[in-house]
Amino acid sequence: MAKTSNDPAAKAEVLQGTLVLLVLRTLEALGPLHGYGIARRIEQISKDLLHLNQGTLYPALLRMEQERWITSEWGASENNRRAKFYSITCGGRKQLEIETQDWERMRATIDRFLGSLA
Amino acid sequence: MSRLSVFAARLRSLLLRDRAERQLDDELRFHLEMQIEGNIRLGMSPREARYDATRRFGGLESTKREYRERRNFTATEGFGKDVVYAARALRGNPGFTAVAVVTLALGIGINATVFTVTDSVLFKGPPLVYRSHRLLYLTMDRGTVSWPAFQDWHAQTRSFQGMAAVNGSWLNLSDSKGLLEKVAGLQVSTDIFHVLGQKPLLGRDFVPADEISGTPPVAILTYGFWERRYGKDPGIIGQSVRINGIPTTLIAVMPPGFSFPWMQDIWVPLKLTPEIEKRDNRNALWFVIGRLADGATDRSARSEMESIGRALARTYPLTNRGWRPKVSSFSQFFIGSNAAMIYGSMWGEWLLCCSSPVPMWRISSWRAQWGSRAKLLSAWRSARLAGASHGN
Repeated sequence: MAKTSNDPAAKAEVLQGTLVLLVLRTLEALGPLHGYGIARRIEQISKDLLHLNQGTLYPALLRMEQERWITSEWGASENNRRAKFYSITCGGRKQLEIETQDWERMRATIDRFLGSLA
Repeated sequence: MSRLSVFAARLRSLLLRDRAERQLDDELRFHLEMQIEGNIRLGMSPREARYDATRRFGGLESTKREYRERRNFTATEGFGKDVVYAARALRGNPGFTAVAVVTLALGIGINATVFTVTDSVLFKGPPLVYRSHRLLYLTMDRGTVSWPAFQDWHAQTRSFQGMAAVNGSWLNLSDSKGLLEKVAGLQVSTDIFHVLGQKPLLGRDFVPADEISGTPPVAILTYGFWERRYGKDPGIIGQSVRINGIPTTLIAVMPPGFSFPWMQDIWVPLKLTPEIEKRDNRNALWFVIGRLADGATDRSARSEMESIGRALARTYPLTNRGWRPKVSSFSQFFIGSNAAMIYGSMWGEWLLCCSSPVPMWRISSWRAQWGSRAKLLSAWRSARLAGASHGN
């Protein structure tokens, strides 16, 4: 019955709220990147274990831009096409710190739960 | 800060809506093309590659919708949405916008002016008008009061610690300068300044003897008149001038800024004559001014004056039956019972002016609606005609 990790249905959905963390971390590590690049990077890092509905990335990027965590600029892509590049801002770095801490806290809490049940 | 920056971003996108929409299309198309090309490189057929790319993307239209909702103001943002709706509509209809803006600007401007003028002239009064909330104005409900009735009021009241009677008149003043001047004057009972709580700046106040016929005529000047006609010469006190041809001694100058009741230049004592002392002479006095005694209120003063009035009517039925004392505050006396109406009408006019663009708005949106309805109707008619001819 147990699904193997090769089963596409076993891919974990990107948790609500963690997308911001993933995007900010990606931009911090790789510098300016277009939406497709961010999506690919998230999928690569997660070794395709994480199922990202790529479309959901764009409203999230917009929101982050509105919050001034990232900025965007039109430029030429690696294959010389017009693309919108996103980069992290100072506020974005602060937000990344907050989100990371939140995630750590959450993980520790969940760990404790699982540990206590074991 | 965050709310504000989101708001600012949305406002920008509202103003640049078409451009933002094009850019969204470009960005998403770029994404899909990149994915398709990558898939082809991995060996997929173009068709497979496209299918896989859209599957991974997961709903292009829903993404766009979600994106737009986040980019623009949405229904969940109540007031924001209204503002945006209004802004869009105004932008789409510059003629209406211009008319509405001009209407509101004129309305607000004119009202502000009327408000200011009315408030300062009627409600606050000219700067020289003397007022105090402890001072009440007394007359008869059917007109003015007679001197003997005033004497009776004065003698019987407990609610007022002082009462004075005044009668306004224009006086002809001439002096050693030889220039005859018509001045706004006031005949007063001699305790007027005591009732008003004012003391002369220079010279002496009136004394009761000044009222008695045959005593030397005297007069007191306002500061303004003293300054204007006599250049603030203190030597004028004790000098004789002619008022209505009668030699009169100037005995005092009142403090700067004070006049009573309106913009009088000069006060002279009422001289008691047999004519004034007639109970049926109601032309002798303008009105009576009273200062409330400690502990008395407008209300208690009114009810006391009513009972005094009833007693007088019983005692002097021939002259006083049906005449009731009337007690008014400053604004009631000088503006009358219309005060509330004046204020109300100013507000009403303002509201009217602010709402005047509404019917224009309705008309212009009806026109727009009916325009599109007419198009629908004609489309429907042609469709029906087409169907009918097809049927045949």
